[in-house]
Amino acid sequence: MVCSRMSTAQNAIVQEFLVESFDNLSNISEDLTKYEKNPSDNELLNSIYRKIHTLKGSASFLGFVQLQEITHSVESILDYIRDGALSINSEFIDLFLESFDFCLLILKEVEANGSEGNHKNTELANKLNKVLEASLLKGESTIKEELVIDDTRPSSTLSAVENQNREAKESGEEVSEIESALTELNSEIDEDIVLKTMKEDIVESIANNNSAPQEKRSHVSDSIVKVNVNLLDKIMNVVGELVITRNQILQYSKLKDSADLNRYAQQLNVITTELQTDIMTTRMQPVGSVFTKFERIVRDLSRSQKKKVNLEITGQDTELDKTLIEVIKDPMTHLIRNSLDHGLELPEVREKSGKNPHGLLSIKAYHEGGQVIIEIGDDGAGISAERVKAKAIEKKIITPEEAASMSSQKLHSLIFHPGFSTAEKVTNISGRGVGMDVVKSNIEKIGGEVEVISAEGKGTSFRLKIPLTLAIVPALVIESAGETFAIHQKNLVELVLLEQEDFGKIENLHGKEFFRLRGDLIPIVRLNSVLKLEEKEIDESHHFLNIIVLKAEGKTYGLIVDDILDTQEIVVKPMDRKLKNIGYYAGATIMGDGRVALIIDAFGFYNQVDSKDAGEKDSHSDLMGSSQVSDYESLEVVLFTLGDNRVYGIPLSLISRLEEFDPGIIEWSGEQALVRYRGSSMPLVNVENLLSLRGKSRIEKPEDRKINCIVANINGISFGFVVNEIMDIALTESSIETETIDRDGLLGTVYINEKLISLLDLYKLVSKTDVGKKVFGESSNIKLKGKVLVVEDSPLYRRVHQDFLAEAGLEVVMANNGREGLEALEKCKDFMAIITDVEMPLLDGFEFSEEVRALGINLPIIAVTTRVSPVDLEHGIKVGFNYHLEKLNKQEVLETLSKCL
Amino acid sequence: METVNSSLVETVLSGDASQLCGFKIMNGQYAIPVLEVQEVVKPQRVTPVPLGPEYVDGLINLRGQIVTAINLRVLFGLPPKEEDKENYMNIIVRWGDSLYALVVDEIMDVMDVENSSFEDTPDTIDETLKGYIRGVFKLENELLTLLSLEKLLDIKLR
Repeated sequence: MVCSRMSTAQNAIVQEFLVESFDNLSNISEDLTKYEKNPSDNELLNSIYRKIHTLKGSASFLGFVQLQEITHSVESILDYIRDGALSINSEFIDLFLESFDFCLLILKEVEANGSEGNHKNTELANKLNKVLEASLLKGESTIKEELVIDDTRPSSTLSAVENQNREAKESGEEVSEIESALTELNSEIDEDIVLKTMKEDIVESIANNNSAPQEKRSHVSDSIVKVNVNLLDKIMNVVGELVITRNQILQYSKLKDSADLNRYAQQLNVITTELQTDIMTTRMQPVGSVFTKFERIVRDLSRSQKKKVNLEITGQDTELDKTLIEVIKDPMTHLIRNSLDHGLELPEVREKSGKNPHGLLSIKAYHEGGQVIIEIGDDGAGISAERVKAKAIEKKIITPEEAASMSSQKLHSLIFHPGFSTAEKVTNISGRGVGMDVVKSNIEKIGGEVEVISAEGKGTSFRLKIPLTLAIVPALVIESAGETFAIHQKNLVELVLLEQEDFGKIENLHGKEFFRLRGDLIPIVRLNSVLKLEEKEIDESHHFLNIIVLKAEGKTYGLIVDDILDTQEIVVKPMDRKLKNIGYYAGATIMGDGRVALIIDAFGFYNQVDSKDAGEKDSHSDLMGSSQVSDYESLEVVLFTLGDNRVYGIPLSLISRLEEFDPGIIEWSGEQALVRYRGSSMPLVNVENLLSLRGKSRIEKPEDRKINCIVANINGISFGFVVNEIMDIALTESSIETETIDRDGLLGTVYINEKLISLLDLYKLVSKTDVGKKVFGESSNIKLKGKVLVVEDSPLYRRVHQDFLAEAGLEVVMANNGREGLEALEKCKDFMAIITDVEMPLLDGFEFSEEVRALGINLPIIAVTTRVSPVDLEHGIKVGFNYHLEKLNKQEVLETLSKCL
Repeated sequence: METVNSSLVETVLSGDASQLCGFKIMNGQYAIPVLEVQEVVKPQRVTPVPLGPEYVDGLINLRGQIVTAINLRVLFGLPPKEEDKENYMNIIVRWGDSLYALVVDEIMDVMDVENSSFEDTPDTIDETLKGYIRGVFKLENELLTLLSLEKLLDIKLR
């Protein structure tokens, strides 16, 4: 690319010069900003000085005059600073950065056209010279006074002295005086230059002895080779081909019965995998190389915006494939700019809201689950969900109705919608007109994800999730309608084999199919239907369904396919871009038998699923507050067997967790079995004993197997109910019959799958244990009188409340939901208190309370709920709850009631 | 051997003569500049792309590369083959980063034609076809329609 005017020899030299100079300049801006924060770091200053010095030398040698002049001036100023005659200030930093930019400009010009082109450095040179002159004047006065050259003074170059001479003459000093000074100077100069050179050498050698990173790198660099990225790409491609061929050979060797072939194929496999890993490593670069660039950007932006920013970067050593690093640069720049523009407030504003006037911008990088996570966060103003809502409605992205039902998290992610931010200004920093939607699509193009988390007034954080590498991925191979497909393993959660008798587990709600996976309701999609494939003829022997549970963008759903074949490493080949726009496919791959298979884009498929229905699967499978289908007054029951081999049940909503213990960890306190659970001792309940059942509890005969137990929280304490086998979770709409129970400790019976199942009364069971008796005392201690309104939608809890409130002596009036509750309040005016559930259909507890207060009713409202979070507590206080309690703590409810009455 | 034109710019007809790769679809004769052709292969196993455009037959494996097969019969709105369905040819072309296979009925020879016989697309040609044509060569006995690779490969998601 260098101009052909030059001879090849010169060509090579200029190339060499360019490579070296680009390298030198690449980090110099960052070094300078670092030095600005740390002016005592002399090593850094020296490093900067050396780079400019080298640049000046080469520029002079190659005749790049503009470059030489600028670098020369910069070098001189740096010299002054180094020797202490000048101290660094932000004006100088600005000037230096400008100079570096100019140098870069010249270098690029040389690279493109072979010469410096028409760039003139006059303005810049003038600025630099002004600084030099100002410092020289300082120097001149000292000379007049002392007439001795202190060898730490920088003004030892002849030209500088000549300048002084001129100045002195102009300022009308007596020539003779100056002349004598000059003569002395001249004689000293030679010494001085020698001294100076010596000093430089000393500095160099000291630097060499220090284990400064600069020097370390030069030792390490002896074993480093510079390789063109294109070559690495090519090698990656070839390795990709090798992987395909290896797959083919492996497949073939499986068919042929040759031990030798198998052995060689296995060897090939091992070698190929190793080669693949090593090649991928060569392309890995620490993200820090990109992050340091942001120091400068943040500095410039904060200056121009007049905001104070502290930039914190962690995880610079995290490695990412080189091409991916290139791709994330622009999106990251945009996000940083966004934080500085819209996120961080002006110092005055921050102080007013009690924040540190210095805003915090943090960039973090780390590995997690086969991906690299990059977080860009600020502690600024956060995203206003209201403003986003208004703008989205205005731009017709959503309707007001849709907006009303969207969570704030959903609203925040609207900022990524194309069309949300039109007319983003094109700035110098980001270079092109980029919007949030471009950020998102750029990241998604490389197989990554973007999410935003924001709290108004507190700050915003963007999370970029980037795959470690693109090309060769582990995948699940499936077959549907005679065609082969592959799914990236990163999206795979689990595989479910549904036997024919369980086909009924797939529930149909509002025309969409759902499946209950251990308590969570997830939407189901049939691959054949979505892709409009021909259904395979119903094979009579095909008595099962394959459900592949996938997770994309935090949402979980199930994909029904005909057959699951294998897991394999596949090479992702790009598809025609326009075919990719269909949305379902992430690319194509070549299978071991040479066929082409489409790779399914889990995220694209998800988009076809009504996002409102996709259930959120909490990774801790916290069953408390699991989604209950509120249209039905139905009950979910966990079924299990006890020592008498009969099936019993516990309502799902009473359960915290299902756990498994090694019998070896059971400890005994007298007759009470205990186990260490989440930091404290949890008593294990021997249900068979308490219910006087035939058969023994697993606590007594562990049989060397893991012990299953159902953990429930009663009155604030966790208890583990030991059971034999946990069978299933069933949904029943039948009501609980209490007449059929024959012993204490059972709630009643329900009909499930045509069988009568006894439900355990956890509270009663616990109160029969020694621990329970000690801790709780008898709840019948509390006797109250009066009428209480209970608003509760779940038939189970209605029964529970009815029981213990009546036992305490109260008259209980039931309402099934908020509406009925209001009606009841209208009809009857002598209630003493209201106990209300929070999660109810039609009118939830909060709204109900608001209405009650609006009617002027000042009765104490006790809200009971399964989950109490600080946000809920606050909300509750706002709407008028007097107390906000946990559902299963009957004791607490009674105590609270006695307070009110 | 001249190299294949792999950029996103069509081969310009320059000089006195052009070398074309001719092929037949139904009764018509068509051609593209020979420089645009990478190779010609016999029918291959095709993986269909569900929900893709009608004229995309699917994807083919060509020595480890994914090739998108475009059925010109469908593209031109012509009726599908009644019999002899397995008898067709794939003309492999490269456009930008991707490889495509043009599915045609029969391959003819490489022809040398005089550029003077080139004329702009006549108005009488079917509208569907017009968009894909650069012009026609008037040969002794027949008309040779020069196709535009750029237009053919501009896959629209119909």
